[in-house]
Amino acid sequence: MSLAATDLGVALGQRTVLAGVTLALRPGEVTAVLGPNGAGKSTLLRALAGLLPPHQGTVILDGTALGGFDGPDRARAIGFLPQHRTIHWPMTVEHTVALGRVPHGDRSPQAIERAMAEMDVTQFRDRPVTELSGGELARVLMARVLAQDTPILLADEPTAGLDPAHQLALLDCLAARAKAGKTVVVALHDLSLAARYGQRIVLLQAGRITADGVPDAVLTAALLKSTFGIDAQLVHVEGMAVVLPRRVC
Amino acid sequence: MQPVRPELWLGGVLALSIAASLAIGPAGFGLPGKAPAAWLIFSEIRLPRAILGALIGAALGLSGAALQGYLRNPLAEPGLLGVTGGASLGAVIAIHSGATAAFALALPLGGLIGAATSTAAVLLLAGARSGPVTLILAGVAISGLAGALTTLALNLSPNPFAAVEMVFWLLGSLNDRSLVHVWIASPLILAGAAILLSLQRDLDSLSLGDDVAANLGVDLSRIRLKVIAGTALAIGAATAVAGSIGFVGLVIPHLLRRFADHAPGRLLWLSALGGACVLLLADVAVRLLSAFGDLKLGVVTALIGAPFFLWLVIKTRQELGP
Repeated sequence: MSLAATDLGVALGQRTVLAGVTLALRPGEVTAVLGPNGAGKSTLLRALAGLLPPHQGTVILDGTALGGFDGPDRARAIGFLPQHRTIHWPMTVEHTVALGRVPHGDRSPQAIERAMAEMDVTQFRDRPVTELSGGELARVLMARVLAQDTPILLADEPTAGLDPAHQLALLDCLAARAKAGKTVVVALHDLSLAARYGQRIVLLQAGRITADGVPDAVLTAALLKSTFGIDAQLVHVEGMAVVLPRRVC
Repeated sequence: MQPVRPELWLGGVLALSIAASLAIGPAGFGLPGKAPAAWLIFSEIRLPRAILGALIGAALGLSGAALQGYLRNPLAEPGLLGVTGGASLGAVIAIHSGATAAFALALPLGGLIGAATSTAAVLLLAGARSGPVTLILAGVAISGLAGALTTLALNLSPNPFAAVEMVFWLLGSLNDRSLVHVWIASPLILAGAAILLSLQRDLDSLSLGDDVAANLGVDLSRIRLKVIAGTALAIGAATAVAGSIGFVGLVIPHLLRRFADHAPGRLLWLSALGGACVLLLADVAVRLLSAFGDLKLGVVTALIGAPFFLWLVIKTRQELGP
């Protein structure tokens, strides 16, 4: 399934948060969206998920404007993990993950078990989600998205609050889904993880795309300086990309 | 061994409650035999009372659970959106104007008109696309206005008898309700209940926040409209025939939430069953206590509900720490 934004502009209240964003997402690769706080990463992901109506331009899913889909159809195509981890009732972990099956109208045990196993939350399936740590809750909510089993996955800072092992496991899982032909978009703050897992890096600044390409082309010293205001360099250690931040400019 | 499904045992309790409501009354215990007088009591007094008790109790429990799930607020209760206040005002105006003296059904009809008017006012005030907070504010404002006008009607009541009639009606009761009341209320309550019960998955999805719910395909403005319409139909009709009956819609979802794994969708059916049981049994208690004075149903539910709520507060305090 293809998802593309053309000349996308989004305003929240009076403030223009995104302007002139054109981006065609490709199945089979992980796209990492990077940018400083307030650059519009979350707004871009929410607009791509169809949760914010664009005031300019369009988001096209498989040739049709996203606004033309009804809720469940869109929900079977796009899975979205919001940045804010909201939980209102102390439901069990399993029940929470199973919500991912709502758009499908089933409670497919395979999809739920697989998602729980991938996010390593099976062992506390019967615990209330309100009694989990922040990182554990984040994994449960990600498992909800995985259980939705959509061809397009959008995750807003999925690794925030996770320990190093679970950060790697989560991104390995998303990379595997991309390899299996899904379209994966993650908003990240960890530049090294973005360089390692993203086949494509989209750099956002003040609501506009300032760079778009492979990590080596985007994460240059000049762009890192102009975008994030840091003196940093992309280096390769044991064949893996690492962004080494030296100091604030 | 699998634990018994809560829907099953609540259904069992409901069957017993209906039987108790049909069999117990001041005219004696037991189901009617061959005597025509006993049949008359059964079909004209006890049967409508049992049907209304079950339907109104279910409406209260179900609406409370639906509103708590939609607003994601465990303190929401069926009267929050102004329906109860509007229906009460409509009924009081019907008494005040003397319409009830002209024909008896003016009372429930006045209640229905009041409920419809207050719901329309809340919708107008809150606007078409507002979120839960604006909706609560609009409901509180309209409830307040309806309450003020109700006390004004009491204040200006033409004679003491009318004032007593208004106050007693406001306390809530199933006394002297006939099958005509059943015919007026039941289609509306059932329609409202059907709308609310269709929201099970939507309410479950909402428990992870608006963005996740929208991602799961929930249409946020449609669910809002359904919650308002379902509550207005069920609670408007219930209040129009029985007066305002408090605490059932607030306490029952709390009591049963653990049996639904805290999932607001599954809680809907459970709260409907639980509300029906509690209101039927409270009404049986009213009849058993009638020898000691004419207690009103709303007074009994408040007397049972308030201490229970105190206990809930203490329990919550213990769980959350000081």
